[in-house]
Amino acid sequence: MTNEPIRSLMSIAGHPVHPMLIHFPVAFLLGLVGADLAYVYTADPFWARVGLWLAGLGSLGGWLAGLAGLGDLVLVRRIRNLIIAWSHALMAVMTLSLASLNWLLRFNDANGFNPWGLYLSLLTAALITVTSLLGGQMVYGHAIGVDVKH
Amino acid sequence: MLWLLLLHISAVLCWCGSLLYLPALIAGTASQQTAIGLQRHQAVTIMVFSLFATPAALIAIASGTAVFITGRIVEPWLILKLTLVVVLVVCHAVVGWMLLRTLTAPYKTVTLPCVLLGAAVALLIPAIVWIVLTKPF
Repeated sequence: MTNEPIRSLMSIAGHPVHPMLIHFPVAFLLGLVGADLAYVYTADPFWARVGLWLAGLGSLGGWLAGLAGLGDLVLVRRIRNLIIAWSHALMAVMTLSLASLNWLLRFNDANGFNPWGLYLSLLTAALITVTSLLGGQMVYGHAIGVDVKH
Repeated sequence: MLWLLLLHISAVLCWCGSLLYLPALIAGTASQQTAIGLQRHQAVTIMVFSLFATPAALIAIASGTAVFITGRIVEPWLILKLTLVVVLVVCHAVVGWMLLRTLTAPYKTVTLPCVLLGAAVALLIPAIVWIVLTKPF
């Protein structure tokens, strides 16, 4: 086993695409919990609309960022050989499935607020925490996409 | 979108089958008698986890998501089903963690956690199928 950093193939001028994109959907989907709680406390329909957009953009952005991550997982042998990389992908796809259902729930009933939406937001946030821990471990523990030459 | 449903069910079958098999494979690591036997056993276990079980799970969950998005299905039973799938995914991740542990400490007996994991998976799969088939609410 080598201690050399693992180079990402899905990168622009040496900058890996997946970590560039993933912060936005993570922020949207964690913000969704805040928007839902704000609606519960204020009953202001503004927060229901914010929730619809956060769930939609979080899901779409997550799937896009996930495609870049999937590219690295499939194409880079040293990432493919990491058990933690597959576990990270698995948790991420489960998170996105929940976030997509959360968006659909709000899209079908754009004016109302469904308590199931808050439940899905909380479950998504819990999964994001675990997925992010695994993703962070890949960067800080296995040096994926890290450049130490300069 | 029948082809999507077919892809989903096929991937689910592959995922569930391999997820039932993996705890047994991991529990069998400690019983390997020779170094070469251990090496082969570990290689097979990693292959089943990384090249079969997890890709099948990714396809199963992604295609399942496409099924409910295209069919615009939002029912409480689906939310309950996805909650149980989350538990199944957590079991799958714990299997990965156990596999990592057997790579660093191969001769440590892990039979009990593997039996518990296998039992949890064997209970979750029929529970999920029951929810999908009966749609209780």
